[in-house]
Amino acid sequence: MNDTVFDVQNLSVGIDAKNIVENIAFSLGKGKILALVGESGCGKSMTALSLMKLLPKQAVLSADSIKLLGKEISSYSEKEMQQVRGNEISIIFQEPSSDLDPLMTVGKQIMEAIQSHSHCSAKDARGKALSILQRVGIPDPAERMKQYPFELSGGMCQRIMIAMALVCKPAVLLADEPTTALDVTIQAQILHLIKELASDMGTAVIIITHDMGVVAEIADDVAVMYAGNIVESGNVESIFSHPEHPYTRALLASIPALSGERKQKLNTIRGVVPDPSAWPKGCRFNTRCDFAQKECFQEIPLLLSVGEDNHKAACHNCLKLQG
Amino acid sequence: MVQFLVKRIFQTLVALWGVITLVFIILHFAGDPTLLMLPESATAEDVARLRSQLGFDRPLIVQYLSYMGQLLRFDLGTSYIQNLPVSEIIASRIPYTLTLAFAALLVAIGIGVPVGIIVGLNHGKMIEKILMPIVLIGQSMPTFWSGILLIMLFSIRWGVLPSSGADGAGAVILPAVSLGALSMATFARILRTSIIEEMDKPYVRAARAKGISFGKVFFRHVFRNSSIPLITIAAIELATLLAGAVIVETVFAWPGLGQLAVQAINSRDFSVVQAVVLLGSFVYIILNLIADLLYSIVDPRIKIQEKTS
Amino acid sequence: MKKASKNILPYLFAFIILFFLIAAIFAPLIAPFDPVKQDLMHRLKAPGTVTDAGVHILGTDELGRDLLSRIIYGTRISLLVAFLSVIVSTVTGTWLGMLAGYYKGWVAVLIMRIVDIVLSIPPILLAILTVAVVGPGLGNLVFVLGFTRWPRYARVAYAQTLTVADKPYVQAAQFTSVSTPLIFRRHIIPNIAAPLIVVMTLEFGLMILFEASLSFLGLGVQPPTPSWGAILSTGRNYLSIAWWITSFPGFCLFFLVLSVNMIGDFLRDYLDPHSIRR
Repeated sequence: MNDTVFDVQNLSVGIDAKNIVENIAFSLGKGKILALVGESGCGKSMTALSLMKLLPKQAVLSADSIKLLGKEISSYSEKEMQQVRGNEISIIFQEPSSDLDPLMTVGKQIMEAIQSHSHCSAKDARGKALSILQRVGIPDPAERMKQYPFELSGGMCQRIMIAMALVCKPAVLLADEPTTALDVTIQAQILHLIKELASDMGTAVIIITHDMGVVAEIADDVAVMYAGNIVESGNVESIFSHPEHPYTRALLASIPALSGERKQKLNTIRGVVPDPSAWPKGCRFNTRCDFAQKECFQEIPLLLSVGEDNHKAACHNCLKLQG
Repeated sequence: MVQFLVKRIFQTLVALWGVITLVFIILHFAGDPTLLMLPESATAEDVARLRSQLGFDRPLIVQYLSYMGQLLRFDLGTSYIQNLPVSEIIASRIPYTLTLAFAALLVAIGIGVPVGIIVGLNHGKMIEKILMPIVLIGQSMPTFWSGILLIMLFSIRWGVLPSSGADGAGAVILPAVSLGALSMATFARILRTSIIEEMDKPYVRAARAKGISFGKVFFRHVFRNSSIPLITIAAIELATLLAGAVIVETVFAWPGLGQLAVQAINSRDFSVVQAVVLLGSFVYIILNLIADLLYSIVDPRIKIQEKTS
Repeated sequence: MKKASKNILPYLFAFIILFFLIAAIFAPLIAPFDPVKQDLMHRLKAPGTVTDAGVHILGTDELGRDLLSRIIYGTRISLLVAFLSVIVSTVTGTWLGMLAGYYKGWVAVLIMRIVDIVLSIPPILLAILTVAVVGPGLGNLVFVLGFTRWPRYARVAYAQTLTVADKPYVQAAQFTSVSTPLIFRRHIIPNIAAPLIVVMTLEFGLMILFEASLSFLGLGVQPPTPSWGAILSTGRNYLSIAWWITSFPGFCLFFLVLSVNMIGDFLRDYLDPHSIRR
């Protein structure tokens, strides 16, 4: 595939010489939507921040390669990253209302994003801001521009964050749990907005979520993360129809069914994600896995192909089943 | 907003009335205020004459009402020591105290703010560990002692700045530094805390994600947000500086209100002492009001809350 | 880095305070000279000067009195005034604050309004005004400082009592007709003790400063009784020829106040880890 816009190989994030995210690799085509799924604490958000090179001070990024539009940004300096951020790769976060500066009107904040990447007049920037606000479905944008973040609802703030992230037409948009903090009714609207704008602008999206429902809603490809690793990846259809890794299966089983027996007990995954300091030896899911064998406690399974369409899983049992 | 203003101004008026009343009570606490206003050598006849002249032989409530009435007309009475209206004596000293207080505020902000930024941005680093103890030491320095130390160094040892009086622009430097040291420490500490808090807020990360340089993120976003507490505190600190001027003016023989008050106590010129205390308290109360109003101007969130409630 | 320094520093500051406390209590035993005995033959002698009477380790003042002895006796005045005025204002303020918080209604309005008013006069000006009325002297000084500072305690006691009085166990005690003094003793006082101790410590440092300030202005303890503030004040006239008169009492004042403030800050962090106020 030649329209790859974002390609990451062997990315790791360490804190205090201990990796909390390891061996992350994926590749993203123009306009495609990749969902990065996992429970909280599995390293999803750290992965997103590391792609922006905005990790907290104590965290260290290492990667064989991070190629954005063919440029190797893993070796970029802070200064070079400033040209890239918000311009070629953008990010939106979980709490849109606290991601905006409370003392600055939203209009100024959007114009700030525009003017940091193109030398245009305030008037041009204002025009661009107005049109992007219209694109993200904000009614009466000229009036909204003059308002402060606290005067707007959470859903409105997230639309503004999306507008700010997309105003320079980036190749990649990272969306870190973009709907988690919003009302259920607003969630679907925001997801559709992201999907629609991405396909219009040809922007590839990495959406980070713990919600398989969200994945089914908008993603093309899925990568399931557990304890800092990708444990299964592939396109949405194959993952949903033949989940291979026991963790993926457990995640899918924990979606409440809309039809069928109501009294059926909702499946939960027993236990919690282990802390990076307490990762078990061997497969990291072995503490919670019902099928764990002897070798699962000894060797880390590799992410290997288990089916068509680039479907991969990291599980000793899956390999056995494959023969 | 209007409601808030009216309420706050009403509170201020109540506080002003309370202070006047309290001063009146203290004044009559020791019994006969005329005794406080005359030199110890005064005869019983002198005392009686002044007492009836000032109306201190009337019932307390009558005295209280006429005292209030006088103050409402901005009549602070007469100094029996200097034979001048108190307002005139005070007016001649106000410019000196104001000059000193503002110079001290300038010192406090000029040094305190940069120091606060440096330690706030370098939280946990060596430079913070070096600067913070210095700030804390500045905060524990009694002003009269720091004033004396400054005189010893700059006036006596190096002879570069005058040690007393108010002649020339140089004369204000030492008193201003010694008076401003305390507020400087306050500014630095508050700004530091506030910057450390703001730097952790999500909007900082989001602003950097837009591709803005760290310096721009700091000055456009973090610093603006961090300086909200600073602005209100500046008004209160100015009030504190005015009060602290009493001691610094005495150390440096600076001819302001503080020196006047101390001289007046020693010469038993009680009407002057009372006037300085009233004036000081009024300024203190009004600066507190200004601090509140400034706060609602700087922070857009407050205006709206008032509007909707 | 915080951990190591936090463990040692409080002890260091507590040691400095203890050092001054011992000097104050045993002043007559420690002081090498009579602090008020003048020796006009040996005025303004530099530190270390040897006279017939002995060694003046910190020199002599403008009347030939031994500076070290005066500083040691001055410690007494500083700590005594600070201690007594803190006690006076704590007792007054705490009781008024607790009454306001417990009975609420007009009692609270009356007391807390007075608190607001007293606090809206700059403390040093209020102290000056009161001294001007009641006159200087040790007893009056304690009265003035206590009178000026009680509202601080009243506010803390009021706020704390309000929260405690609403707790189920206090209300239960009221219903079972436990006597009011007993409720105060058993439920309210123990609960408001911690924040009050912090305020007392910080105020103690402030009172030392206030005593020195008022004495410096000539409104405190009267001569010849030695007080740090008064020594500094007279020493100011001899800055160019006798640096020691102002330097040593100044150092003592600075270290004592710094130590008390640091202990206060430490207590605040220790007793109330939530407070991050300046």
